[in-house]
Amino acid sequence: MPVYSNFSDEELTALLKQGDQIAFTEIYNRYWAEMYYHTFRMLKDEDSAKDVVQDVFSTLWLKSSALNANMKLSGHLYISVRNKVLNLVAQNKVRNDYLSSVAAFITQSVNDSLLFDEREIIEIVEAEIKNLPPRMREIFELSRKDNLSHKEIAEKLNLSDQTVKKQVHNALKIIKNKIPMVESGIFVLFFLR
Amino acid sequence: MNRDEAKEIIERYNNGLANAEERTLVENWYLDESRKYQFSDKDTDFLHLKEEIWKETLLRSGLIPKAPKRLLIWPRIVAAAAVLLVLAAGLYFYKGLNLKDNILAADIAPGGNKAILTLANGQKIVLNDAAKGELSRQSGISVSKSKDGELIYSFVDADQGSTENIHNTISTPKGGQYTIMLSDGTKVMLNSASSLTFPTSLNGQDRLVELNGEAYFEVAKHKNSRFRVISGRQTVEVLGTHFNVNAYTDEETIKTTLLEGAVKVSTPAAFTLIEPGEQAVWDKATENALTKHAVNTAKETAWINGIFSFEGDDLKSIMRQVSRWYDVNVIYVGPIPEEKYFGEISRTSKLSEVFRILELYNVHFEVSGKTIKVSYNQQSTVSDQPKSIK
Repeated sequence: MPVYSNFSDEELTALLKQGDQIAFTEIYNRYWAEMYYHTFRMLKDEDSAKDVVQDVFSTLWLKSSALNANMKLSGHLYISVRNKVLNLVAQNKVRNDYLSSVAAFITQSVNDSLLFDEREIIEIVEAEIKNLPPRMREIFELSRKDNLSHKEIAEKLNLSDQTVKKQVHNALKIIKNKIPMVESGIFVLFFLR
Repeated sequence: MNRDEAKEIIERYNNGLANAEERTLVENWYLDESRKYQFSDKDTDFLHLKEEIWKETLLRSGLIPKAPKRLLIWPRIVAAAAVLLVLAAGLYFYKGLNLKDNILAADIAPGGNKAILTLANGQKIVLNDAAKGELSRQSGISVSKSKDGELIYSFVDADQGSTENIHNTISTPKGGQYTIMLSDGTKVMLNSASSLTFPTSLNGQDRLVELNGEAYFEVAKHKNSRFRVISGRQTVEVLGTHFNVNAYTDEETIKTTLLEGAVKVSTPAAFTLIEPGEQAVWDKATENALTKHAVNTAKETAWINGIFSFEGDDLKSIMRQVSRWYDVNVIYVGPIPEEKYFGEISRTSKLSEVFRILELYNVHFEVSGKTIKVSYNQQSTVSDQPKSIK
């Protein structure tokens, strides 16, 4: 997705808060595979993993105006997935006997102080994403780079081509006002299209 | 530390009530567990899911309207905007943001596993209180409650399998549901405000039960033995299948939805055979029309998975379901437009959470005791909602 794919997570978050659908699409392109991957690791079931990911992204959109502008997008998504998975664990709606696993973990950890805090956990998760098996990494990168033309975006979102162009234009204005550090390169790229 | 204690800690965590130490433990367990799984290259074929997950995400976000399914009671699509409601299990994550706006002083909890069993001699057993284990023994049939809280009918010894015609009735109140295993191995999940009357011993060629309200049946197959469900003047006849019958007296129709196998639906005027994925609809008022059409069976049986699922349902239909599950009475104030609603709400949600979602679409609720006053704010339209691009 031209222009949008060059935006940082922070810029996309700011646009998302304005109700920008294309920013939402770009966030999905950027994170869906990682989120699916994480969810699947816990649930080991395609259907429930899909369901969690769909819920996390649709909730992100529905609650976008209430988002904290300073949050870290990847961390927010990770925590949203974790909350949903833990809900399923509490209801015993997971394939593994996670309740026994939790019980064993807690018993073991009583004398063990090697626990990570919230911030450290998110750092670990981010580092893990960067250290995926090479094939997996390649797939994530490919998935994220599938740039769509205005026309393709329009088709996907059921909008007119003109609307998308206007939206991209507005997005740049918002970004410009909100985040003064946008690289000028992005603007050149946009106006040349 | 045992499973139950672990469950309690996770529940506290999910409800935002865990202390710092518990939070750390739960989060570290999660991290630890998620790192145990090693993705192999054959796992990489999930990429085809990208479009699928995106499409469903857009639907749940209300960004693309769902094409309404053809439903007999709503023959034409009103030009009203499609509204998508999404309340995921994880809503609690955002609770903190909205709690102050909550209009409800005292919240109303969702329903649960509650029912009353009436034995042939008139004795009543309250099932939510009943201890696990054997509850009663009647003419060679043992009635017990399993550890999952299901009610199980079983033959004590095969010879005694009596031919006596003893009937029991299980009924759920508003806000109750219950699962029962009949003596032939048929499993029935009874929705709220419903009742099922059945012979304690189901071993003949004709197994006959009577249903009021809604139930989902998984009928055990027995050679040369049919199973019939009577609801008012409609009869459903099967050999061994999975199906759902919705026969509430306050609904205009009786809907029979088939998931597996084959069933025959008969009314005084007509009968029809339906196939898996189809629903037979009988209009009780006109009595003559018995129609069948393809349905989304997941939606029709969403309740057995703890979900309210709406696909073009209007507010009054939604409120009838709410009234049965939350045990409340509903009064309408002023005109209620025929908006169509789409989406899913968990049946474990508190009533205030259901209202909070509906209030996004200009529906207003006022609660006093068990009575809910519903009104509609005509000023703005739902199309002003999330669609930011026009």
